[in-house]
Amino acid sequence: MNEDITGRGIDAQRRADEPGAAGDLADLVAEAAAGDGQAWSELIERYARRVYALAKSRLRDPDQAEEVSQAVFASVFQHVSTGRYTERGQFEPWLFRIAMNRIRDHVRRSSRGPRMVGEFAAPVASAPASPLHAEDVNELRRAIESLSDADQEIIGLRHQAGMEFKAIAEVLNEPVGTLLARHHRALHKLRDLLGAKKSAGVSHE
Amino acid sequence: MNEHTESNTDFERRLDRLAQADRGELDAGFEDRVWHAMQQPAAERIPGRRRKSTAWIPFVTAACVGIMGYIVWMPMINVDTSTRTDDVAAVETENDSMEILLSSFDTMDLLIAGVDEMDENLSVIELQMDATEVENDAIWQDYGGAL
Repeated sequence: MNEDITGRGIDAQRRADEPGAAGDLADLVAEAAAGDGQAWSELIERYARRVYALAKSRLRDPDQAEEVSQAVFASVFQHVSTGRYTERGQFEPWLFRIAMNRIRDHVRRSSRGPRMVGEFAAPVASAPASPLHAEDVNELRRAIESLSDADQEIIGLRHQAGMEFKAIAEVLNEPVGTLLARHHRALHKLRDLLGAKKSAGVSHE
Repeated sequence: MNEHTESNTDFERRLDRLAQADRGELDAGFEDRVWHAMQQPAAERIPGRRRKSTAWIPFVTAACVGIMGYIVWMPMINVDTSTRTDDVAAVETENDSMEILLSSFDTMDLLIAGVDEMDENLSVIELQMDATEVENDAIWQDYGGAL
C-alpha cells in the first residue's frame, strides 16, 4: 500500500460526507471490484479508522479493535473482489453491518472468558483531541459502557463510525424515527449519568 | 427546551471529539496493516477462525450405540420368560444373536399354535351364537303365528 494514504482517515470521512460522494463511492467500489489497488487504498482510507473507532468503543481493547478492523476489510475484499457483492448504493451500510456482526461475535466470545468490567476495568489510555481531557474521556467511556447494548450500538454507529441516521437504519434494519428516539434517550441517559457523578463528586468534596 | 437541545448538541460534540481521539490514536501504519491483512489467505489471516464443529460426534456415537442395543436386545422383549425359562436362560448366558433368532422362532411357533386353538374356540362360539339365533328366530315365528 502507498505511504501517502496513511493517517488520513478523518479527512477521508469528511470527503465521503460531501455532496455527490455517493456516486463517487459507487465508482470507487466498482473500480475496487475490478482489481484497482488505488481504489482499495481509498476505501481503506475512508473507512478503516471509522471501523476501528466503532470496534474500540465496544471492545475497549485497541488490539482487538484492530484485529476486527482487519477482519472486516478482509471480508469486504473477499466479497467485492469475487463478485459476491453487488453495488446498489449500499456499500457503507453493508460494510458497517459486517463490522457490527464481527464486533458482536467478539463481544460474545470475550464475555465467555474472564474479563474486567464496569468500574473495575482499567481505563484505556488514548490521546484525546483538545479540549477533551483524559479524565473526561475515561469518564465518558465509562458512562457509555454502562448503557444498554442497543444504546451503545446507536452511539457507536452515530459518533464513532460517523454515520448518518439513514445509513444506521439500514445497518440495524430499524426505522429512522425509532433510531432518532433511541439516540436522544441514550444522550439523555449519558447526561444523567455524568451529571449524577459530578454532583456526587461535589457532595463528597 | 432550548437549553435541553443545546445540551444534547454539546454532548454530541463531546462524543464526536471522543471518536476523533480514537481514530487519531492509531499510528500511520494502520492502513498498511489493514491492506496487508486483507490480501492474505483466510487461513493465515485469522488464527482463531472457526473450524468445522465436531460437537456432533458424541451424539452420533450415542445414537449408533442405541441402535445397536435396540437391534441386539429388542427380540428378547418378546420372549415369554414365565413359560420359556430354559430358552431365555440360554439366550442370557450365550448372548448370541443366532440363539435369539432361534428362540424367537420357537416363540413364534407357540404363538401360531395358540392361534389355531383360538380359532377352534372362536368356531365353537360362532356355532353357539348361530344356534341361539335359530332359537330366537323360532320364538319370533311362534309369536308371529300367535298374532
